[in-house]
Amino acid sequence: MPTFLTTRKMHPELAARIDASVRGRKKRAGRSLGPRMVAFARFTGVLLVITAVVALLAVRRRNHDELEGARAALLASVRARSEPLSPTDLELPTRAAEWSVRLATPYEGDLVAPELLKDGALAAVVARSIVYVRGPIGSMANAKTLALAAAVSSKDPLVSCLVDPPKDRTEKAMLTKVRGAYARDALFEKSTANVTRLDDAEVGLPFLMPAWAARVTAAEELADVARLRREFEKAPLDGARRAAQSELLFVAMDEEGDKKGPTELDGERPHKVRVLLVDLRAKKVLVRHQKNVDPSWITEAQRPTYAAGLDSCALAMDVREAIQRAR
Amino acid sequence: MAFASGISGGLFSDALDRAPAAPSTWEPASFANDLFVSTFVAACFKVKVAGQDLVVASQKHLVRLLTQPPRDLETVLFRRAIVSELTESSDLRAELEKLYASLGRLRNLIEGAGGVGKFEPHRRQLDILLCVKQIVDRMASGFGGARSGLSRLAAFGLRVQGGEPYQSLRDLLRYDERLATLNLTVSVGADGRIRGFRVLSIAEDTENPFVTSPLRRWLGKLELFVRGFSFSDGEIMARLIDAVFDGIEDELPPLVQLMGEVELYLGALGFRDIALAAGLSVCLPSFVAGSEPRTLQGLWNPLLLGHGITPIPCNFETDRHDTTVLVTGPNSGGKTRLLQSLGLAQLLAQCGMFVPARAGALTLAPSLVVSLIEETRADQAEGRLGTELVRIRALFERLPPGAMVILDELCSGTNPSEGEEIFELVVRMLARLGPQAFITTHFLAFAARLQREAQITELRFLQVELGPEQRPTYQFTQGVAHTSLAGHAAARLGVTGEQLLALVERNIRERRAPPAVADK
Repeated sequence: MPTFLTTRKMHPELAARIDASVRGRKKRAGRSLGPRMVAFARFTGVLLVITAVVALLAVRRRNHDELEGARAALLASVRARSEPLSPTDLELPTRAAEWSVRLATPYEGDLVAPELLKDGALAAVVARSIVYVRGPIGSMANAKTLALAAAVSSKDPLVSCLVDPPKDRTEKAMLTKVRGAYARDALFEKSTANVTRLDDAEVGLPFLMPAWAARVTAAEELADVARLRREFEKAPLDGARRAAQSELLFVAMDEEGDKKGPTELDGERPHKVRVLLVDLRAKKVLVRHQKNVDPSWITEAQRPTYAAGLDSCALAMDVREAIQRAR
Repeated sequence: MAFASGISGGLFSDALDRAPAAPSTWEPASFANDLFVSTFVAACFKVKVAGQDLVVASQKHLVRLLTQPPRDLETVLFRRAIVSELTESSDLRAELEKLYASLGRLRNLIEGAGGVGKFEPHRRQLDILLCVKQIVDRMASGFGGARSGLSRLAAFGLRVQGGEPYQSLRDLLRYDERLATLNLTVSVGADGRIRGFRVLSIAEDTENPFVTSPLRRWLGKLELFVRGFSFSDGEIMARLIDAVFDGIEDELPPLVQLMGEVELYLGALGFRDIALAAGLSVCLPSFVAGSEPRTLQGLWNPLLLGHGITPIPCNFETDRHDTTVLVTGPNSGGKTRLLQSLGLAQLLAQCGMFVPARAGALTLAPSLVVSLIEETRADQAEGRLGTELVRIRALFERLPPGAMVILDELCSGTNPSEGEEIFELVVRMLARLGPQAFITTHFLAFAARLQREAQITELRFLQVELGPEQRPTYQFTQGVAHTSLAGHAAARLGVTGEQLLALVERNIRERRAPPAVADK
């Protein structure tokens, strides 16, 4: 290949010497490598840099594709889980808080809605989907503390005895229901299958909200998307969806009580309990009832262990009886 | 390597030390030390440029040239013609001095002594190329009218100038100096400051084969980078310099030897200058047959002049060359100085250089052997007689027929009776070799006997001439001296009876005087 350093005006011998000089046959003084070796080293270096850049770009591209794929898959899962839910459904915690706050205010008096006065109406109502929460009245006064109360509120004998009452009010009959509730036996789960904890909605629904989908979209690392997916998969989404779609809200508030009577080993003590059953779709109170519970009626053999459960079951029976009496 | 990066001195002197000298039959070991040739070169062969003394590239080389006289008479005459022409033509001498200065500058540049910084690595190489061009130009133009061997310089210069490498060198230097020419007008304000300038024209030296377009230069840089060089204008210049130097480099080695040769001739001229400044004469003696008389008019000792002593010239003449001359005379009468003068004159004459004499006629000698009396050494294995016998043995081992022999005070280290026997034996044996022998001796009675008996026909006798009050005149006449005038020497050096007695009495007084403290 001719060199750019020669010109047509040059003597051929000079041009030949310049050509020989640029071909680098001679090693330069003070250098350990000849020009050919330097050129080879440079070419190798450039090749390595290009290879490294291409590899880096490929890795980045693959990571980007993996990120996009993971993000799309997670968003698809979010969409699949949230699709049946309406905006109203997703706002269940807010609606539940509104009713809870209202019940926590000075008691407005017992109430039984006319719809329950018909024969078989109660059984039909309690067979509908219900979201349930119970807690101290002080925790139910705002949405934030309601969520904390919901976190420790689970389905209890109050629920099971309301939707599937014992055959009579004897301690023995109620004790069977209470034990089933405590043990979460099959009969309890089956009878309360239509009841969902409010906590499921509090915990699970944020994962189905647009804000969470935005977090997924904003995630820039594959690890972030993976972490979000793990959180998503751990969330009680089935429960949240059932809770969000519940037709009734069942709230029980334990008042402070006078603190004069003894407190049983399981924490039960004489106190008033407010119960509220709301038709969420109709936005109407079906039952509002206040009742004083006192474990003193329970035999001493069962009181240390089952006082709270038996009082709850008895309260459920009281509510049912109040509805019966209102006819 | 030296051109590319420079080396820390010694390149020229090393090369000169290894440079071949003209074929010679002389053996420097036989005379160089005893004749103090190195001292003579250092003191008298001074190279001057425009009147300023310069340090020669290699004194060793000069000594080698002067201790190996050419075997070939033609070479001797060639040198004499150059010396003669340089003496006659001050212009040629000035040109040769300038050429030597340029060669010296080239040496400094190549040996990296120029001090060119690392920041402009190619400047030194361009300076070297410029210096080479100046040398070639000076050789071509400065010696065109020379009739002697100096005309070879012009022939060399013209031959190099006519070649492609030189033309490329010239073009490259012009490219470095003048890629383009800008024609500007500069506006100067009332305060004397430059207010602006305007480019009237830009003219590239398009005829120069090294001039290319900016795009081509840029592509050239890119090409060099791909080929493993630096991406810079300097790298382009480096490649061009490399190519130009490759073309001209074969012409450079002769310049190194030329520097040594020029030093020889400028040294000879320097020797003449020193002599003339001291009121002494030098000459290029005529060469005659061995049977003709040896004459040296106004012969003087250059070693004395080199030590700052103005020597007294003498006339020396023998009826033929192949004789053995016995020189007698008082101590410090100039016998040894005469021998040195004769030896150096023969040496310089056979080298084609000026001899320390006003005029002379000499014959060529195939060899020179000089043996001065040996100093006693600590590691000396033999006594004085043994040492003297070893000296004689060594002399005959290396002495060819017809050689010039210089012996100082032969057999002076032993008792006179035995010494005279050996002396006579040596003289008789020397006669068989037909040498040009010069021997000093203090065996005056023995020398007188040899002269009186005249049994050895080749013997000639010279004695130191004494003036009024028996003082040596440093001239030499026929005959044998009657006295060594040891008394004069003793008196001059303080060794008379009275002087020694005074010293003895002084020492006795000092030893007998008790310490001053002990008296108290």
